Amino acid sequence: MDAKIEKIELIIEDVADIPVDEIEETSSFMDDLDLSSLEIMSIISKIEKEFSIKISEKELLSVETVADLAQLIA
Amino acid sequence: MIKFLNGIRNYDNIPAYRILDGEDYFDISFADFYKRSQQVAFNLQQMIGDLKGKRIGIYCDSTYEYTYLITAIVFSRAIVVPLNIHESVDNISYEVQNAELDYLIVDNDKLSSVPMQVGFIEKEDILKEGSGVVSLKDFTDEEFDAPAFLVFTSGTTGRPKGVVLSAGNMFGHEKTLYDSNVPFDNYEGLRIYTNFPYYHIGGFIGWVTHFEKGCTTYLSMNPGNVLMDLEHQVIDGAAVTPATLNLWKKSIMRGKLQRLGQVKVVVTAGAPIDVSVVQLFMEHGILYGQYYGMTESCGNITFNFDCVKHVKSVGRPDNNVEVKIIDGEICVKSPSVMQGYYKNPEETSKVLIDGYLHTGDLGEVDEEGYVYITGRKKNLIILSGGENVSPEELEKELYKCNMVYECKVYAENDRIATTIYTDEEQSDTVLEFILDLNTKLPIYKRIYKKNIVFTPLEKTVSGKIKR
Repeated sequence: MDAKIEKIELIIEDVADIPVDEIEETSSFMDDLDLSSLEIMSIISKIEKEFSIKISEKELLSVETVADLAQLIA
Repeated sequence: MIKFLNGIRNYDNIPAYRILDGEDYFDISFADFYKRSQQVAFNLQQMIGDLKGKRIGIYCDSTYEYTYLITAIVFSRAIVVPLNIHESVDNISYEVQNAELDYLIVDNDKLSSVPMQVGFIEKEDILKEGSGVVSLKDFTDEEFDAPAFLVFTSGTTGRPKGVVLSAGNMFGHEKTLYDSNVPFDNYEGLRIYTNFPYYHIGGFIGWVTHFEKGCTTYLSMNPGNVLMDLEHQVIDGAAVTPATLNLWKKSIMRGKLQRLGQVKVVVTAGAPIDVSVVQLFMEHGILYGQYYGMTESCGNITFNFDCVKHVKSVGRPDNNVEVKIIDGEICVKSPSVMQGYYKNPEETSKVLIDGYLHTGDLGEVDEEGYVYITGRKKNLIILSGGENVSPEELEKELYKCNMVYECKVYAENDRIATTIYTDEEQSDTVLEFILDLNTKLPIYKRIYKKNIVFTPLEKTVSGKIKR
């Protein structure tokens, strides 16, 4: 789990220029990180590529925090 | 006489599109584009007979194939009605009814449970190859005023309004790509990356402009790949949403300029851009430009490529466009101005007055003719993603929660924000309501900042909540 979180945090840092130490497992994409919808899409795209997975639009609806996203990665 | 198709035929083997998918890509020539559009027209005719005057909606993802559909429909003399794939199903169902659609082309099943009186057509069925072609013809001068497009735009009062654009509005006058500040001598085959969706006026105008000039349009197969797809490509220009420029700015700051495909000039439209972003691009040797327009003006009112002297301006009026400030509001006269809002003479008469389109933007013009936007007359949120959002529509949603006594919705730092008056012990209920509402709203309409207060909101003299 931790490795996955770490990877997600690095991707967020890379896309949105937010330092990793400001991102928590419980950080909400909208409320805490203030990511735009294009930033969220870009992050998802990179995660899909990195982990070779596909995240559906439906699954995305339930994603609010970094931890929620990590759960989608098998 | 319109010569749009004629131009496409002449560009022949030049690539019309390069479709990017990570490290992979493929090209589609203008000749292929033309053939495919004719096949789509044939397939549609087989399915529904004569297309003339029919209203055909498109509710599909924005891909290169979308432009085959537009070409086939419009040049078969039917009216194309592009619907925003991210819009709420409720609004889509309103638009289908309001536009009196005969048919709706879909590539998804999002509407399957919604009762609608419209004939559904699967996109894949009309993209079939090999069955036959219909020869498509450019519009004659007599057909200039024939309605060709019906494009919905967010109104200030909740429901979207259908903007009627004629063939002449869209194709009648050659569009401006750049001016002399941008040093390209030849536009044919010029490589331009874009991500304005084809259900949006910005997407249409980009498409028509690139196709008139024979440019090659670079598109990402997956819109989320905007930071990955250009690493392996070299492009000349980019016409992207302001949100994309904000994202690219962060890549430049992190030293990852290669993600921009060696772009020489970036252009945006749809929302104001932060001057610091422009400066960062300029410092890295990338020229910046901006178009200013709206659905009702069918594209450009002004354009600006002089960011050295006029960085805060939206630029000078485009060819054929006259800009006049009336009571502080930017008003426009041009042959591209819409015919009106569909079946809505009341709203039309509020914006088309004595031959001028009233934009709702407040502004001024300097002595060199450069236009500056100073504010908004109407209550509409304009975000960097290029989408406009009606605050009233979201306020209506918020009032569905009984604990929301008063609320207002507005933009704060490019995010949607709300201030809500409720009781202290109800604030958690209200926050949970918004959290749940956000999962149902289209992504660009989600409410980010929630400011809960326990005293009534400030009112105007007429008793309305002060914006």
